[in-house]
Order: sequence, then structure tokens, then C-alpha cells
Amino acid sequence: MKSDKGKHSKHFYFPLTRRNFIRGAVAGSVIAGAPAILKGLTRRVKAAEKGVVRMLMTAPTMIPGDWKRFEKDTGLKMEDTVIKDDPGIFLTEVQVNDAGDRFDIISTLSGTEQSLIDGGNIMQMEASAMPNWSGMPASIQSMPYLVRDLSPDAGKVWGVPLAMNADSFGYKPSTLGEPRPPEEASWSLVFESEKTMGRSSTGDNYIYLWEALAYLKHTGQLNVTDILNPSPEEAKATADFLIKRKEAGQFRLFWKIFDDQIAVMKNGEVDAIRCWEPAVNEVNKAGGDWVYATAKEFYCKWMHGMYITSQVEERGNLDEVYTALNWFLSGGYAAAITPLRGYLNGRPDLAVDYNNSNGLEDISTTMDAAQEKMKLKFAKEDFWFSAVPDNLQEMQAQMDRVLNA
Amino acid sequence: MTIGNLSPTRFRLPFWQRLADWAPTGISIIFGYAVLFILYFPIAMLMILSFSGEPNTGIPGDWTLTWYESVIFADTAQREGEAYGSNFRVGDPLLLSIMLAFITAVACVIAVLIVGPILPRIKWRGPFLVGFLMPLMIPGIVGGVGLFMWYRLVIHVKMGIWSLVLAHFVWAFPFALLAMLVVASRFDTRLMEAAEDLGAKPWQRFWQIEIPILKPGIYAAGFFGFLLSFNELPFSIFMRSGQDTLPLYLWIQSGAHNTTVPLIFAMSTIVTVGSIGLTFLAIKLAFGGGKNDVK
Amino acid sequence: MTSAVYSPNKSSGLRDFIPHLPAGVWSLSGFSLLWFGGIVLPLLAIILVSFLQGRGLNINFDPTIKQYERFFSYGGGDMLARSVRIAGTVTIIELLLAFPFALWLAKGCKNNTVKLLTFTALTVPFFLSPAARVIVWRSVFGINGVVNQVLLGAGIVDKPVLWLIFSEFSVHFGFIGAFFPTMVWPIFLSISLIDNDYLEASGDLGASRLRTLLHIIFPLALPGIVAGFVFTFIPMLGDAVVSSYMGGNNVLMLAAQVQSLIGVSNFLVAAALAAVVLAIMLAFQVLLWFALKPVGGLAGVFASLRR
Repeated sequence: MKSDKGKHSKHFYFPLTRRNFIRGAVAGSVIAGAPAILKGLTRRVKAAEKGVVRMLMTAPTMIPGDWKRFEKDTGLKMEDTVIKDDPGIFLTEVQVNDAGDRFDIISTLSGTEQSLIDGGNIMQMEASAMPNWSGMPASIQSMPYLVRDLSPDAGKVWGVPLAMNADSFGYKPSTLGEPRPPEEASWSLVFESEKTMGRSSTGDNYIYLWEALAYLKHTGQLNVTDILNPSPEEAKATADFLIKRKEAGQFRLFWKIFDDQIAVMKNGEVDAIRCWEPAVNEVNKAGGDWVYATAKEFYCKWMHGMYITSQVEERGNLDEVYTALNWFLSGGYAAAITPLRGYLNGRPDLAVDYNNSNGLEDISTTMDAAQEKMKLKFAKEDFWFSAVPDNLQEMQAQMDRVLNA
Repeated sequence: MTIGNLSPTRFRLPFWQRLADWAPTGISIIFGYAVLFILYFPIAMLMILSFSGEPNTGIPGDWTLTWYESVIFADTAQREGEAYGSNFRVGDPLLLSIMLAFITAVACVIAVLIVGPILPRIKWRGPFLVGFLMPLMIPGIVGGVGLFMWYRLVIHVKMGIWSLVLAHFVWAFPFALLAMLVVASRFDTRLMEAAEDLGAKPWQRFWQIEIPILKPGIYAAGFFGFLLSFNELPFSIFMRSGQDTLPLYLWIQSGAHNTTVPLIFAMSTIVTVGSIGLTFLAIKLAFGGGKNDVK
Repeated sequence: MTSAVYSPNKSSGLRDFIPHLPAGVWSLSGFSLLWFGGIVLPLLAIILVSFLQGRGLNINFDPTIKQYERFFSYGGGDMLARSVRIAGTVTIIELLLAFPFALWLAKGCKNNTVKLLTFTALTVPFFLSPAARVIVWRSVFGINGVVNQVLLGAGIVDKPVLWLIFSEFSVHFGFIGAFFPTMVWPIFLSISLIDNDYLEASGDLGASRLRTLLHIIFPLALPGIVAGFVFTFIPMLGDAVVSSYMGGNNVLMLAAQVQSLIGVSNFLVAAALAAVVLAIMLAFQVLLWFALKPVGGLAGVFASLRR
């Protein structure tokens, strides 16, 4: 027997070969992995490299492929890192883990600005340093989250928009016998409808509790003082409503990620779902008959903003950063993100010219439709979403209560 | 009926008695493999679906290799304006995960050799055991936050690869320790005493008696250290800076506003195939021809 | 363990406490110091933090139990009870399934190729993310999935079965498959260490197979069973992926709740939750200590064999 041979050997029980193999495996893995570690180490050691802009961004605003267009247009190199946009994780990374040491631009959901300003993590921007800024609609320029306590006349802002959208929900008009956009459909299809009993869905986050709150406000079921900052009592009342609907069997599930939405839409599990706009496009590509609603009551308007970290001042690459930011406000980024996801950046009007002058496909129909949509949807008053409302933790806790029920 | 009593002159038992004899074994085999089937069915389907055009529906068909292209050639296969971002660059995270897993495995083996053999022999096992198993009793992500806050805010050390190694070690060590304890608790201390009486020096006793007998524990500790570190997510979320491991990368990508499921299918298939080969090799070498017949 | 067994010339004391190499003493103390100081201490600090006040990262040092009140008002008690119940149920099911299988693998299976293949099969899933391991079940168990189609076609039901997915059933089901290997491996390890001589001797002495199982195999395999229990139960509690994929967030479990708390910077309530979980775990250990008193308690399970 093989093991017998080892037993009678003088020193070691098991043949040397196996231990050598393991030693070799360890050594080999160290050698194999060394490049990865070294790359990681050197990436951090370089402080401010000329011609490189480092950006910390979140997944919704990422565009596919390398940053070839960016590099061609600006002559700068972009090093991007993606992170989750959960406020807890993003803010901890920036404020406790000193992301500012490693990044020049950070980008996340709007509403986070106040926390970043309080923490001294971002610096004020000169609006005039970005040529594309002046062409933006005044309503966006003076958006409260971006301007905060600064007077807009002073020409300074805390952040510039990266991408924005007005979210509603998706539904199947033929199955439900509901009108198609641009005719309006009601949010009740998601929250409170016999037609979609057991076949509707929304997300598992405080964002979706907020929407339920807006729904209750517009159907007169709840008195809401300030929709931009729901109070704990309002959150609790909304949660009670959602729990009642959940127990009545309204919701099939509460989805967590994008792929959940696509899966249940494609598999026929739901007829109405509060989802992100790209989901509808994607499911329709596979032969579905979904539409994204022109909502009757309200939209969840969100924006991702870009901010300059305060450490950029010491590093001294401010002009490069402004060039980079200007690109995101230009036709280049617009032409990348709008046909892809339907989201708009600060200057969608520049997209068609950009594509035409660069010999790329003509996207005038897409851009026109998108801009029309935005004008229509953004006109509705409610509500601008903030990633960090005053009672963020309460709201999420109430949503957890709903999930727990 | 007794074990091992298979005298050739025995008369044949009635059918039902032979069935009752074999039934327990049979049932355990059937149930065990049934559960393995439940475990493997989704993995097998995943591998099949990774070649199909519409993996989300769960119905294979429409055979294509686009997902594999997107995963393997992420940096070069740039299709402008396509919805499925070839942003899915798993190369670096995968490498880092493998690297960390090896380091964790080695660290676990060393640590377990320090603690494992001694623990079953000392008087105050309880407190030590509770202390070493402490990371198991706290939800992973909270533990990660706690360690992060401690090292960052109290000791003022920046995070980096070292903190990832620490996080993985903290998570994997209790499991590796338990695996080693399973083996170490069967260790006959009289062997050590005998060796001492025969004049063996401490170092010799360690190398020539303890290690060989504890070999299954060492392999188990290394095994579990590697596997647990490879898929570790909660602890690593906060204990990192700059580099992402594979689970971290997938977790971040799950927040994308474009579908990544087909890419995950393709990547998982590659990982499965790779790991089948690796595991087969590792087990064969670790346990050799015979089974753990230590004695 | 008496010094009489050892060289009587050496003085007792520390040597008596740890009858081993001095090198062992030093390395154990060194390691323990590092471990307890660098890891246990921060983890215990979490418990401390749970008694403080504040929001996000601004923490004041005002002792209070408010965080615990808030935690339970969010339905935390229900959630914990549910998580422990589901994880416990599945772990026990796994134990019942894995023990015979591991026994057979260790002692009954003579074919080495089968053993090798089964081991590989038991290890490979560890390399995949838990999401990848269960995601396909969603389409299989869905309203238009294979299972429902078969049931409808065979006329067993006239409407698609809804509770196959996004329910507690699917969460249990997803767990059973995914955590089977973690239960098999430790039990297999401990059973494979049982000397075949004991089994033969027991047989020769006239014990039935059942008696051998209960009185020889089971006690000797106990460390493996306890290890397997821990290997399976703990990761199951800490799993946010399977429960959310299979349960559709209709079944909120521990790890998902913790992640959502941390995601909104609710560190203090998360600390309270961790403290409650720790308390539950310690309570388990105490319970186990009583249950295993005949064998000397939980730590006693891992005690060296003395003859």
C-alpha cells in the first residue's frame, strides 16, 4: 500500500513530493499574484500624475468600454473606480477611508452634497471654468442640491450634474387594458390595484418607501408636510400602508437589483413593476410588450452629481479636472448615456452635433424624444430625490419593517 | 447480524432481510446524491445557459459565445453603444481573490498548527475557544465595520491589501481551527510522552509525530482557509482600499443599471471548469491513492 | 493530566498547565495576544458602541439602550426569530442527510474513483458565488417555469403554483442544496479518523450495527458533527444572497437586514443587532454545554481522548 511506504521511512510519514508540491504551489501563487498586488500598490503610491484624472463613480452612470472618446476629446487619461452608491458605504469610503487622497472627482446620487460639504470633502467649483455649463437650462443650474448655500449669482457651485432621469414604473398596457404613454397611468397599478393583485412589485429600499409616501400624498390618504424630507411619522404611516397591501397579497416580491427586475418581467411574474427605465428597453428587446409609464401623480426625479475632492487643491491638477468635468457636460457623454439608458446629462442638446461631427450614427430621433420626455416629466412638481434625506435611517428602518411583515 | 461476518458457508438470507441489511446504506447514498443533484442542477443549467442568447428566461437556445468574448476580452472587445457593457473586467479581481485565498490558507495552516494541537490538552479550553470563534458570532459586515473603525479611527492605519488579508484570515481561521480540532482531539498524547521518554527532542516530536498524525487536519484547515477566503464578502466590504476581490467586484457590479447576469454566467462557468481541474488535482495529491488511513 | 506522567524532575506549574513544548507555549501566547488584542477587542468594542447615541458617524458618549429599542421596533425580533428558525431547520435537515452520506463515504465506499469524484463534487461549488449557485432556480420555479409547466401539463394543478419561489419554501430549498458540502466535510473528516479496528472489535463482541452506530461511531464523530453544525449554521445566518434571490425579499433574514442598516449609515443599530446576535450565540453555547455535559460540555467535545 502506498501509505505503508511512508510509514517505514526514516523521517517523514508522507512522501516529500507532496509537500514540495504545496511549497511550489504557494510560491507559484505568490509569483503569479505579485503583479496584481504590485499594480495595486503602485496605483496608490502615485499621487498626482500629470494627465490622469481619477474618478470614483457609481454603476448607474458608467458607460461601457474604455474611455476612448473621453481620451480623444480631452487628451487626458481616465482611471475610474466603481463603488456602490449606498450612502453608508459611499460616505464611509469618502469620509473615513480618505477617498479624496486617491480620487480627484467623486460622483454619486444627489442629496449627498450636504454631508460631503459638512465633512469638508469637496470644494467649490467655478462654474465659468466649464464652458458647457452656461448652456444648461436655468432650472438645472440652480438646482438646490447643487447650489446649497451658495448664491447662484456668484458663479460658484458645489457640483455639476452627471446624469439624471425621472423614474416612474413599467407596465403591460395590453394585458392590463391601460393606455399607453404619453397618456398617463396611475401609480395605483403598482401599489393598490385589483388588476395587478399579486402581480406587482417594487424595490426593497427607502427610495421606494418614499414613492409610496408620494402616492399616499397624491391620493389624499396621507398629509405630507414636506415631501423632500419625510418625517418619521409619515414614514411609519407609509410603512403601515405597505404592510397592509403586502398582507393583502399585492406584491409578488420586492426586488433588490436590476437583474431581479429583468428576470421577473421576462418570466411573466409581474404585470406592473416599479423599475428603472433601461429595464423596459431591455425586456422589449427580447420581445416583451412593456412601456415606461407617463405617471399621473408624480415622478421620482434623481440626479447623479460630480464633485471635486478638496485634496485636488493641494495636488494642483485643477485645470485637468475642470477639463474632465466639462467633457461629462458635453455631447460626448450625452451621446454615450442617452441612447444606452435613456438618462440625460447636463447638455443633451450637444449630442447630435457631437455624433455628426465625429462620423457616428445619427441619434437625433433618440435625443429629441429624450429631451421631450424630460421637459414633460421634469415639469411635474414632485419630487426630487435625495440620497440622504434627514430621516434616512428611519425611512430605511420602516422599509425593513415592511419586508419583515 | 454482525459486521464482517461473511462466512462463505452461510446460507442465503431471505430477500427482505438482505434488503433491510442494505437499506440504510442505500437510503443514505440515494439521499446524499439527491441533494448533490439539487446542488448541481442550477450550476449545470448555468453552464448550459451561458452559451445561450437569452439566459434570463432559463430556457437554453440561440447558441452564442458573445458572453465569453465580453468577459475574456473585456478591455479590447469594445462595442460602442451596446447595452451589455464590456466593463466587466474580472481579470484583476479574480487574480487578487486567488492570491488572497492562498495567503489565507497558508496563514490559517500556520495559525492552526500553533493553536490546534494544544487546545484539546489545556485546562481552560472554554474561554480560548469562545475567543477564537468570536468572529463567527457577529454578523460579518458588522465585524468588518468594527475592525475598520478600530484600525482606521483608533490606531490610525490606512486600509490596504493587508487589511483584506486580515479580514479573510479573521473569517477563515475559526473554521480552520474547528477542522483541525476535529483531528487534534483524537490525538493520543501518550505518543508524545512515549517519544519524550525515548529521548526525542521537542522539535523532533513536533515534526515526526504531531504533524504526520495531524496531516488530515492540516489539509482540511488549508482547504477551508482557501475556499472560505475565495468567496468571502461581508468582512471585505469595509476592510479594503483600492483593490477589489472577486466577490466584492460582483457585488458592486450587481448595482449596475444594465444586466450583468449573462456575463456572470459565463464567468461562473469558467471558474467552475477551472476549479474542477484544480480541486481534482489537489485532492488527489493531498489524499493520494489510499484514504485517510492514518493509523 | 498529572505531572506524574511526565518527567518528575521538571517542575510543575506552567509545564503542568500546558504539557507541551515550550515553543508551543510561546507561540500560543503570542498568537493569542495578537488575536485577542487585535480582533476580539474591536469586536467587543462593537457591543460597547451599541449603547451609545448619535447618527451616522457622529457618536456621542451618552449611554442608552435606545438603539435596542429601535432595533426591536423595526421588527428585529421577528426577523431574528425567523432567521434562526430557518437556518436551524435547514441545518438539522442537512445533518440528517449528511451524516449517513458521510458515514457511507468514509466507511462504506470502497471505490476510490467514486470517492475522488464525490469529493470534487463537494468542493467545486465553494468556488462559485452563492448567487450563481441558486439563480437558475428562479426561472425553474417561476410561474412559467419548468416545474409549473410539468404540474399543469400532468393535470396535478389547474393554476400555476405560486409559492414555489419568493416564499419560505424556496429559501429553505435554496439553502439545502447550497450548504450540503459544508456539513458533509467535517463529519466525513471525523468519521474517517475512526479506526476500523474499533468497528470490527465491536462487531466481534456481538454488537448489532445499530449499537455500534450509537455507541461507537456517534460519540467519536461528535467533534465532526459539532464542527459541521457550525460550518453550516453560521454562514447560513450570514447569507444575504440566497435568501434575497430565492425569497424575493419577502423573507427578510439577518444578513440582508444588517446590510441595509449599514447601507444607510445606521451603524449604531447595526451594533445593537450584532450584540443581540452575540448574546444568542452565547446562549446557544451555554445550552450546548448543558446538553453535552456528559461529554464535558462543548469544549469537552474537543478534549483530548484520555484512556
